[in-house]
Amino acid sequence: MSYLKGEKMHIFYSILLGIAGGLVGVSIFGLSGYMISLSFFEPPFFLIILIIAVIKMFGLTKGTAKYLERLLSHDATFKMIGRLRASYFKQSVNNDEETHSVRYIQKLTSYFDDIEDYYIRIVYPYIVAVFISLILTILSLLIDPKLLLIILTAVFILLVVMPLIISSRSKTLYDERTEAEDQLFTGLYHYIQDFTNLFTVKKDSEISANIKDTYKKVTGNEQKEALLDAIIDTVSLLIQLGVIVLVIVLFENDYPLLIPMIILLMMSFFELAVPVIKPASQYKAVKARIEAVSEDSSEAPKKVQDKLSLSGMNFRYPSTKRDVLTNVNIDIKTGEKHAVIGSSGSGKTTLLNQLIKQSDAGIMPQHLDFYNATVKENVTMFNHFKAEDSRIKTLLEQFELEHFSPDDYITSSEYLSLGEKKRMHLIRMYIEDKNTWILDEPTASLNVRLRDKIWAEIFKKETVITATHDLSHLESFDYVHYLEGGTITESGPVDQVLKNKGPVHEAYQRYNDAL
Amino acid sequence: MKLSISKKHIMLYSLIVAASIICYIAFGHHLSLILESIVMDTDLNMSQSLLYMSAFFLSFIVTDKLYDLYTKRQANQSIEQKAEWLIEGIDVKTRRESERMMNALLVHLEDYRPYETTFIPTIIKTSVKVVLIIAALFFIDIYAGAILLFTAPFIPLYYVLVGLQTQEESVKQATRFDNIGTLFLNLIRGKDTVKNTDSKQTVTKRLEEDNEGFVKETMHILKYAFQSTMMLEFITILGIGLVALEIALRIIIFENISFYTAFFVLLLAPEFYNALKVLGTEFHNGKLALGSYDRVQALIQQPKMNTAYRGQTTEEAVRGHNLTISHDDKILLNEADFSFKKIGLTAITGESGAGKTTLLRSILGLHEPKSGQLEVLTTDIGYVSDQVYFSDTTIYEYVSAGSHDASKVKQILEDLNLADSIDNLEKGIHTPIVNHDIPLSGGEIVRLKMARVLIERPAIIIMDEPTEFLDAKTEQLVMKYLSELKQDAAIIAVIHRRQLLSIADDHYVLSDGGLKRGEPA
Repeated sequence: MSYLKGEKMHIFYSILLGIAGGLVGVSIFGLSGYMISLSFFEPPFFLIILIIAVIKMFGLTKGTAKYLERLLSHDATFKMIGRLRASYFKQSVNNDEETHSVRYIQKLTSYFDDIEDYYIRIVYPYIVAVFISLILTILSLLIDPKLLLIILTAVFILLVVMPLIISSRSKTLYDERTEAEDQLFTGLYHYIQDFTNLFTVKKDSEISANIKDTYKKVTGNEQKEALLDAIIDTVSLLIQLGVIVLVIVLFENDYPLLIPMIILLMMSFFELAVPVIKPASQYKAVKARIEAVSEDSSEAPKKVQDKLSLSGMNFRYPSTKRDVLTNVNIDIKTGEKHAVIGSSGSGKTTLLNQLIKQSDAGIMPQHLDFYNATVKENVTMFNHFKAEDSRIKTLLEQFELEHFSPDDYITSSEYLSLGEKKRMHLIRMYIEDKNTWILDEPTASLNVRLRDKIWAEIFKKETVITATHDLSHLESFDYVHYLEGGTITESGPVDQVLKNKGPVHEAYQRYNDAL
Repeated sequence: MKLSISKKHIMLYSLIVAASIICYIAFGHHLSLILESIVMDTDLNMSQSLLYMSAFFLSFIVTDKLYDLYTKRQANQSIEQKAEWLIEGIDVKTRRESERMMNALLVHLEDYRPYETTFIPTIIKTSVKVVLIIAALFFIDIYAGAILLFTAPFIPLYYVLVGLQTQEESVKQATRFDNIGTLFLNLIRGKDTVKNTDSKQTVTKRLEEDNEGFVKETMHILKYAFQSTMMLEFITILGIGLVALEIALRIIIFENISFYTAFFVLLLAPEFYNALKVLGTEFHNGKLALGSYDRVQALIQQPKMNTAYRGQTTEEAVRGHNLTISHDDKILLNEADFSFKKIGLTAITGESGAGKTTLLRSILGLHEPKSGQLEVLTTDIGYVSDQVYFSDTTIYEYVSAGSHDASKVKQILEDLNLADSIDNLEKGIHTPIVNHDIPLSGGEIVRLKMARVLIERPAIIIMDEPTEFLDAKTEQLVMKYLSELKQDAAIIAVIHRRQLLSIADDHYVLSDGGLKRGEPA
């Protein structure tokens, strides 16, 4: 259990305490059973009082043990989750996985719920149950080897056979659930995004009905889980009944006095062991998921070059069969200002992302990220960059964001409008203070006044690369590149290219021709 | 806390539970009889008693599992109903808060599910159990019953005195745990910015600090929560101990109790206390789950968009009478009267933000006017929007919408000069469009959107900036095609470019809440 490294002692003690508590709990019942049998045979009164006192002492011990054990096990689990989160985050920063989708985040959440479960619900109760069973089995030898055989068989079925059998069913149900949720997610996403179109072609109710059908799979899955639970319970209860009947029939004549004790003991043992069965069956699946997170990946150092250039670049996303960029050549020297233009889907963002990979410039990506923290923490990346409150205030005013103060808490991504995000991110880039800026649509969703303001700020930078639809300031750039279907179809100094009557000229004409 | 379940179901649930608990009590009765006969050597038909005992235990299993399965089924159906309400609530506005909708259905509703599947059945089960056990005990041993009755109120009392306070704290803490979880998820989601700004070290440190602080605080709160559980355990032990003492005293000193009674009482008393404990802990879980439902309910209760406001006209394509259209309290069209012809191209222009797209959406049935009448020739309207969204599909399915054959699709692609570039693709018209990734240029995508609408030959075609991404040559081609099309259909188009105005039959300018005839058409 290498992923529990820091908390080993906690876990060790909590298991010890769990076993102690469980044993004491089971023996309370056993003792009560023994007490009544004994009472009818006129024992010395103090013996009965002693037994009752012991039962109470045991009760107190059980309560205390359980209390300490819960403290230790929760402490260990929370610390473990904290550490795993940090390492997952570091790992995630290093890889290129796309993490913006709701489904990704939702999967990650359930992932960490699994981890929380892993120790508190799966591993730990099982270990405790196994130890208590072993101790009870050994103790049963004191009475009769036949009893040992009965207990051993019951324990074997409950803690080994059943988890193994259920294991594959559990996995099937889990996979089925994931599949249904994936399907539900995709269907819902498409439905929401495509609603206008579906409504106009009168297909909205059909799609909505399809999604409801998909949801029925989730319900069906819940139903199957409930059935599985019921089956586990039924089998366990049948075993319990079998044990009670066997104990009565086998020992009726040999140990009449001990039978009430054995029966109460067994019943309380079952109460402890049965809840462990289903979680134990999930052990393998959950363990595999956790180990996938805790694997450490080596850090890939960022390649930083002085000049930004791509030559003969082809690029495709791993999931697609087609190049998004084909034979792209672009060379940006210090001090130059480049604009990348072209229609939506022509590959502008992909092209910028390739440049971002090899530079340490200030970046405005297409998707702007904000975190649930204060405005100040957001624009300084949690104080990674130093900035006085007064400076942040000035910048907020400058970009017409004076309705925010540095201490305001950004609660969610919907807290800021798109235009506010653009400006807030620009403040972040200001504070970062790089000489080169790479920007993806810096002026989208802003009014003309703010656009002019922001273009003015952008052109103050030494080196600039911008992908944009907003051609209002095209003539202030040094170079322009026209991208169509992943290929640069025209490229050169702005004044020259505009004379060429090529695609850039046409786009510019059309931009200015708009009513 | 109000249980969100009908009286009828509460009755039915209670009946099943009562049956199962009575079976359990009957099982205990026979077990006690059997043990009495073994220990005290009393007369008993052993095999018959064993049979009874087993039969009652089996009935207990059956009724108990029946209860579990039945209540879960009802609960899951009720959850499904809520999911359906959510899905039905999706309309054109949902897109703006799609994440909220996705979270409500996939996260918050799931967090709420245990409230219906577990909390409600458990509450009913334990309530019935407590009542039946105490009733049974009054029959079996009135003293034990009295002890139970006397000690039982301590548990709820304890909850009232101590539990509620920690409960509030732990709800707060759970929210905070969510928040830290959110920061983590937020950082994962926004890792690109962390990477771009090279701030990984700082941010990781912050994440670790946050978690440390959280563990400290949580453990502090949990300590109280666990302490209260421990106290409950102690109260339980005290109760059971009192019962045991009472029994021992009566066996030894007063000698007025049978073995049967003694064992039976000791079997039932712990069940009673456990039920009370469960009631306490479930109460807490229920409260947490209900919190999640608030977020689901907020969405369910949002008024659903009215899409049935359009009247019918046979004279014109679209007619507005005294029509007022507003968006977020801003009046875009103020008591306007207008009509668009059945045949020909009607162009609408206006400043950005004047409400052109909103007017189109009103005609489409997607935006309810504030007042006045809006009549349309037909509700089968083709719409070429200014937005591009492709669900996972193929080019053929996208254009045909499943109701036209391949030759017809090819014809329309031909008409729009798209056939060549699509034939060039490896799989032609059966090329899949996955993840919005479509192997076509911007101008080709616009024409593909048109193909999808025009293949239906609708009587009314609405277009939002139809030629925005087209180059001059394609624009000419599309204009020629539209000129043919407008011979026997109404085309209503919001346009941004002067070019298109040349083929317009009517031109309206939307400004300052009025729709006025514009030049030159």
